[in-house]
Amino acid sequence: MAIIEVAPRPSGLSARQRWSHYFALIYAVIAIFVGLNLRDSALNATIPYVNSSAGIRAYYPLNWLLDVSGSYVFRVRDMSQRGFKTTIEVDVQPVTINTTARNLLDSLTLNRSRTLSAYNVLATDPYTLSGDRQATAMTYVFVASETNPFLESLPIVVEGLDVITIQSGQAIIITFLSDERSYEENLPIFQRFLDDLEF
Amino acid sequence: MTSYRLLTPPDEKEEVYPYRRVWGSAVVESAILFGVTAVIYVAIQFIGLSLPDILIQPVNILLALLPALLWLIFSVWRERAATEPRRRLVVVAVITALAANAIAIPFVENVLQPERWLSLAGAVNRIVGYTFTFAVVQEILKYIVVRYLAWDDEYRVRLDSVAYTLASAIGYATVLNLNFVLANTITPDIAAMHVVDTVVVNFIGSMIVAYGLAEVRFDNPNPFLLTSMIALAALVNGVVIPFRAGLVNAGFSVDGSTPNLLFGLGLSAGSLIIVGVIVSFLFNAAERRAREAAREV
Amino acid sequence: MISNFRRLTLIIVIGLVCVVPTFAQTGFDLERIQRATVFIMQASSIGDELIVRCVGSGTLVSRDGLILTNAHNTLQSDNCPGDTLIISLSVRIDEAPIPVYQAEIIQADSGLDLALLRIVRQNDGRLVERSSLALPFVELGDSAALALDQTVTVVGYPTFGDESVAVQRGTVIGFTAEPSGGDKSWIKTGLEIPGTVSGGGAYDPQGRLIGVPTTAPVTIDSPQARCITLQDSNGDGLVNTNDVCVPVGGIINSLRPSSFVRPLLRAASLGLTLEAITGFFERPTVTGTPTFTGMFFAPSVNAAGMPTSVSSSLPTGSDSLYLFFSYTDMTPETVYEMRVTIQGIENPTFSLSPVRWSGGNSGLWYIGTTGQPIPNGLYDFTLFIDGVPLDSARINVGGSLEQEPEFSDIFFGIEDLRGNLFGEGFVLPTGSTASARFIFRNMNDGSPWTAIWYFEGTEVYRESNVWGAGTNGTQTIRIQDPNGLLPGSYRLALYIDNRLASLSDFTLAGAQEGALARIFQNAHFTAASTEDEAIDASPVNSFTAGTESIYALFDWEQIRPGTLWKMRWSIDDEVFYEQTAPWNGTESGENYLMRLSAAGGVPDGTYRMQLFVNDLVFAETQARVGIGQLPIDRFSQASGLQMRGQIFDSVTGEGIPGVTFILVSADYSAAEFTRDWNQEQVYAIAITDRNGRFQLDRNLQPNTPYSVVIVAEGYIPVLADGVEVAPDAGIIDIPIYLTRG
Repeated sequence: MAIIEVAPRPSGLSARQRWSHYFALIYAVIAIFVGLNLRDSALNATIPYVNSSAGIRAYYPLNWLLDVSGSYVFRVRDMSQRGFKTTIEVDVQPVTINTTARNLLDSLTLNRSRTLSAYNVLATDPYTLSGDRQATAMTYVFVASETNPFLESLPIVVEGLDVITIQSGQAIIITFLSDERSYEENLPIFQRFLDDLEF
Repeated sequence: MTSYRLLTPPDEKEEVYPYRRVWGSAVVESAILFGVTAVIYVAIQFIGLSLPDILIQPVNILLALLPALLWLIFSVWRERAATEPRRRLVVVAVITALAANAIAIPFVENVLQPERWLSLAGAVNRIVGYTFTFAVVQEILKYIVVRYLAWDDEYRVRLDSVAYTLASAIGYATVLNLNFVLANTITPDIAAMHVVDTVVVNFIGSMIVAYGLAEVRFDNPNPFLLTSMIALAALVNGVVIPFRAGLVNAGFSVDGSTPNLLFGLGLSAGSLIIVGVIVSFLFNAAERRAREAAREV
Repeated sequence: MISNFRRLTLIIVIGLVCVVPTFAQTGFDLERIQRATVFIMQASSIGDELIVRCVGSGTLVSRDGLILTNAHNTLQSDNCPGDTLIISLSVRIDEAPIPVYQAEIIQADSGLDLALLRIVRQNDGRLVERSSLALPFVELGDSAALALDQTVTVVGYPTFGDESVAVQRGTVIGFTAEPSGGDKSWIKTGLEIPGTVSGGGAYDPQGRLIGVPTTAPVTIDSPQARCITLQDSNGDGLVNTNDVCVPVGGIINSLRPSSFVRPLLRAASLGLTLEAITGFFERPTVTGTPTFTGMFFAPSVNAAGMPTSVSSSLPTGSDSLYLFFSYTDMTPETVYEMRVTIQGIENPTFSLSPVRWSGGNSGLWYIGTTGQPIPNGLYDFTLFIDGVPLDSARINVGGSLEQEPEFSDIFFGIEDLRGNLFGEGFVLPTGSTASARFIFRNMNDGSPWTAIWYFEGTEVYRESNVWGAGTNGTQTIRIQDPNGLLPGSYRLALYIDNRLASLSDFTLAGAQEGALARIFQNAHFTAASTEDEAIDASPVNSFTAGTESIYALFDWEQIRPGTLWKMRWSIDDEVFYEQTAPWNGTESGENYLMRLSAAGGVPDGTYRMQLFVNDLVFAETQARVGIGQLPIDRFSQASGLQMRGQIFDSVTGEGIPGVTFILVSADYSAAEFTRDWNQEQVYAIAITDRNGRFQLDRNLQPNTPYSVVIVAEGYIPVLADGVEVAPDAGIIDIPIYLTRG
């Protein structure tokens, strides 16, 4: 035997009902805010890197692969990214008193043109680093392809940004490379890196 | 030859239940869905059935629509036979689907982007991450649709809450499934399993939220109950999704390893049954309390 | 029933016996070898088009793109005038090679016909970063340890690049001796190897490269030249005889042993460059037509490469035979060949397919065999230059040893007052007298005999006498000049009854220091910023690490131009430079200056320079750079097990592109790595291609517990510890499934 129970149509919401829904909506807002916060915490988490001989202190993104074995001071790459691994690289080069940022950019362009496919400089602009230090930024693109000829990898368009500043007889070249499709998305990571960089 | 006269008892007056029995429909739909998935899996994995390439995508789309079709047949169609049909089931499902496709899914994929930052997280962070991104958006959207399309006017009995939230779950799951099968070239057995997993996750969350909505509508609970139920639904989803991924994950072996897809299916079935039993128990208990209260009055 | 069972057992046993030797080659990674085998095209630009001038095979011998091949098809020459070397790889083993890179020659020896190329550019002209290359390569084996009947596998491209890489298996059927490399100057196989495989690789059962199949096409102007027209080089719309013709060699049966390759490879892998600054190491220019004359046979050679005696026949059971002949006007580009017939039937075991000349411009040469049975028969030896027969000789093998009058084992030296002979045997100091002692056997008193002395090919003294020294013993004869014998190359030929009985060359050079010659002196290393500074700088025995260049100097005395001498440089006792050449400078002088340099500084190690004449060391010097020991190159090992695989999405079953597969060093766990994310902990790394396929850039060592970390955005990372592979696992090809989450 079934009991049929029909509730009367409510003439209006009780305070508890009303607050139930209010709380639900407040929870929705808070939960989404928490979600966004979790995302930002994960994406913005950094760990310090100190190289006293080069006089550099930096905070690079957590879970990026640190490499100091190359010709640079250090390089970090996001190995979890599919395709081109977003890269931040810091290099220090000795310069003379006559060397300008423009000279360095030209040198970088000439060398990269010999090794990178379809290397093309997009823009060169002044850039202000933290502490009001003046620098020069150069945006460029090239096509990266797999070095293992036995694999079938498609070339990837990579967008890069060099920030160059000269101080104390040496040039600091900070390079950011990212898949062109995710460049804008990843750029804030580099900007935070620049903000925290001490040299 | 001896003749007998048969005596029949007098007809008992049958009491007519004016509403469609929601639990029964849900069980039938789920059972058929699991059954179809099992048949497809066995046919492809064990018998070696192979569909022509041209048929795979249409079949996958059909599978993505299967939960909605089953729901239309066993829930919406049967509403017509009920004395007091639930009129806004289709509206709730369609609006949920549209809202999911236009708002919730893009918001999760483009703004919260759990895939981008959860891939290297540990187990606990993964659960928390999924709870507060994918799961919470999904449950909140379904709650809002049901709250503003059905809760005020269409809730007459407690089980109306289950009927409408499941309609909402069907809408959300169908959009997710369609997105999945259209974006990936997969065999029908894999498509069927994914469809089941998505539907189960949505059913589980919706059943929990249904209890909260019903309580608020028919009882006078603590104002935090509904919020707690939405949070609980998100948490359960947040647990089930990474846990199922962990179960399916093949790991690494030099000899090669294969994913344990059946483990995922088993987990989905188990979760659905456990949550279904608990929620139906809570509904029954609430109804019992309501009856006792009515008798006292 | 039992009979059937036995038959079945027998079939299985026979099957196993047949199959097991083919596949039970421990460490033989054929696929890796095939991938390391490249097709080389030398091309030149005509208009806008690259026209192929020469082709050949080659083998990658380092992960950063060093390629071993022949010199004849890569060095610029009349036959091969191209200036661009295009490297094609077998991207898919069963398909024709695809042009991928361009290379440059960094080490070459025209005479040995070996060249080492380095990949420097992509095929589109972009420079290649050496450190970014992780190509499959092979290691060199020990060709000296190779024995008769041992299995060799030859890998190369059998056609003009329109077929996949070919593999031939055969056995070693003999060795050919030459002065350039001793008893194993060439390895002979029973295989008929196509000419375009020249420059490829021959491998021992462990998969190590032990030889380079080598044949050189004869000069394109020769009537015997063979060539194939491939392209419409003159743009007339037709491919015909007016177009560039690509020379091709004939069938190869000779392998140049890997022992010749080691010095080139060592120098190339260390990036060392050795330059003669004020020296004169170039060969004298040859203008005459090459000749081979005076062919004779000897049963053996001595340490100086001279015949012990002269034979006109050999007894049954002989296992050693050398054909000697004089040569003039030969150059490293000259292609010579020896065809041997036994009873009129051509015999590949003793023949030498057309190869380049590895000796000096003129002198005494031999081609021989030792340590292998020589069947009875009438042997005809014919020598060819550029496909044209020049001279021939015949010898009979069979019967018993004849007790003929014999002179043998000529030894040269300085005589003391009591008639004792002193010296190093074949290099004497300049003076007024040079003596020779020889053994005589079965001589009859009264027999006429003659000794003829030659200086630089010209007879300078003849002594004819009637024998009166008894039957057996030793005899000393001498050549004298009161004004002093001139430095240079001398020859003594002894005749009995006008029959050549013995012959030997010796060199007169250097000042006399007792019985020994002082040819080179004051050899030392020094440090300087300029060449002029180096001449006056003090000797240095220890250089700081990273020194950009080191200089070596020596003085010389009384060396006649044309005298063959050898310079050898080694690091940590491994030779990285060795060159024999005719002396091309003044007779005496000071400050022969060499400079050794390397990009990024001369590597740490103990360096030694040795100077030879007739394989005798006359000067050497040694110095340390840095810690005095070469650093270990962690990428130099080709051995180990290759790991590759395909990473799939566990839901879609499709390959996932861009996934990172990291093999963590055995010292770290996966959890430690994912805590630190430090490149130092990485053993090897790979990124999946568009099909999800990956290939680790470094081989795994067996029984070593590595850890694995696989990460990709949107997927649950895979972490595993204790990943070990068995030594006999072969290529490890793993399917891996990642789960979304």
